[in-house]
Amino acid sequence: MNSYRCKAICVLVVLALTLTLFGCVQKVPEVVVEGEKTGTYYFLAANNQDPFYVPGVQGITDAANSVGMKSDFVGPLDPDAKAQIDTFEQLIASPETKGIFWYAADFKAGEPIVQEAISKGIPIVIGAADSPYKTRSAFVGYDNTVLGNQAAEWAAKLIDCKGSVGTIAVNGVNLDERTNAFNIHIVEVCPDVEVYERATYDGSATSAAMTIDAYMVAHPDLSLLWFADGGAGAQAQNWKEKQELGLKTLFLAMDMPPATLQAVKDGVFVGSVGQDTYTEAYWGILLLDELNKGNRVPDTLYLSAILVDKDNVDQFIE
Amino acid sequence: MKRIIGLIIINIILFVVLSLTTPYFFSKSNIVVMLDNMGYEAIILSGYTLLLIGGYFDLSIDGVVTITGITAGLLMTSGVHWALAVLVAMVVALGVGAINGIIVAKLKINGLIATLTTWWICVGFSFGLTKALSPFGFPNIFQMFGQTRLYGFRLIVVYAVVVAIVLSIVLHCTKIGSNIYVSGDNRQSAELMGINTARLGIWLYVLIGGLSGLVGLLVASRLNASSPFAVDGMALRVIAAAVIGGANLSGGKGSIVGGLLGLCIMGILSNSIIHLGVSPYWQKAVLGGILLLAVLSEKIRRTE
Repeated sequence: MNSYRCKAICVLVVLALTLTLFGCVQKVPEVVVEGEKTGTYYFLAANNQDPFYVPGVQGITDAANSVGMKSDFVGPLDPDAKAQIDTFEQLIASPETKGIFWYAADFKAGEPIVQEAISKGIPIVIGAADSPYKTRSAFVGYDNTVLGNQAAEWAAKLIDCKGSVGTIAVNGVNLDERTNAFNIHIVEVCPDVEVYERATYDGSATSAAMTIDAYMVAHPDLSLLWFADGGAGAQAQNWKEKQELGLKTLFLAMDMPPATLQAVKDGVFVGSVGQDTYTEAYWGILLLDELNKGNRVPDTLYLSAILVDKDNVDQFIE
Repeated sequence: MKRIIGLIIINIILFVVLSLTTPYFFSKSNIVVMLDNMGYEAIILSGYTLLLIGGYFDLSIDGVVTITGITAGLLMTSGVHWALAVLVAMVVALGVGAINGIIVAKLKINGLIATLTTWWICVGFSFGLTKALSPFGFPNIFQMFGQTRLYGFRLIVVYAVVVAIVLSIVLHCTKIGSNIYVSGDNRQSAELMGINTARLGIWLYVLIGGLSGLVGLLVASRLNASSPFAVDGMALRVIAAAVIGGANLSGGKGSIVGGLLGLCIMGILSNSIIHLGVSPYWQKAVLGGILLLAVLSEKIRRTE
């Protein structure tokens, strides 16, 4: 019995080591760029599993390489404010950290740590949505109210100000702001349009597919549905199938992950309100670098969303 | 039997009330949607009931569902024939199940820690291999498994019914089934009766691994994409449904029919939240509160 147990444990240890080695093989080697500067700029988010971040990670990598620094993308996989704060504390305790580009899960919870970081000389640039407390070195990103308004303007044209609209998104401060702006603005533009209560899902692909199924049944007259977060693309097939069944609802997406762009090209989505995460993250790192040099930078840098449709989608598909 | 009748009554009450209060709840399309959506969890629940009755539990389901879809998706998008991709993915799923079984049933390591670990390893590999980008665009024949409809219903409903019937027969009409009950009720007595409880436990974990793998492939097939975040909280929902259905977390009690009725309650409630237009801020609180009431009412009934 003991012999069997020892053998089983040995097999498991070998398996674990093999898996670890396999994982190591997948690791992209760090590129050390010539130059005298050392240290790392971190991109700290709170739901890193979202494909929305993929272009952003490329953005920080390119920007960091251009200024001779290292970069890394860190934070919890799922939305988790506490875990993000824990990571934040680890980063500012490390002498390796030269700046943090932060997508906040909770501005209030992070405020004391941001103050501590700045007092230690670590610049903090906020991305995505700006902090209501303005406790940061600078902001680069999007105004979620403007994004919601842009989506509403586009939606109004697409449905010719007739019928009804709905939204679907995961929970989150920026998404609440975005969908509320959409709901308010579309009624301002089209007073006769009916706005349905937003549907939420847990962030997983299956949950999104199931939620949309139930939402479409509950609102069979829906003229347009806006997927207000970037996790929509992976579930495109589910809606393509419905369109093939004669569904007349128009689907408007958000952001530009590859699957969403492909779905725009295929006609599943009429378009997507694209946040250019690459540009945002790229500028985030450049701002950090300027702050590190002691230079003055703009306090607030707003970017504009790109409206992607079948006419221009090819230029965004690599 | 009383519990089953109670669960049927709760389901009927929910169905009638929601049909009377919302315009589209009692419609063919909504019933199709509800059954389609419950199909995935029903497949796993049928096997999970056996696992719970046997005195074990497994938190790695979400991870196995995800890694199976990712494995098949990555292989197919890199040009491997879909059948080989499915085969390799199922080997991965069954392998994870076997590892869980050996660790928990043979090495007697706590199932919570063991399956939590395999869950994380599977999710870590899914993200590591895909870098959070879902492989998509699979062969049509692979998509058919998850998208084909029969009388309006996705085939997932048929798969779920078949799995539930087969496993119910195994549980109630075979020696394996009675061994599972005995083993979960009192492991020492079961071993004295000559039942190899460790082997039985390993096979139960392999069964769950296989069913989770099947669901992973069906999700990938339905969505034509393998998301590294394919499911979230499926294991907990399955456990909740099984417990509402009468399964005992310490083993020895439960039935597949009861678990499926518990799943129906949860499915109806989730669906009704959208039909009732409940604010997203309140959805989880409402769902959790009603589930708590269902469990407490059963506890009170048993005490009386």
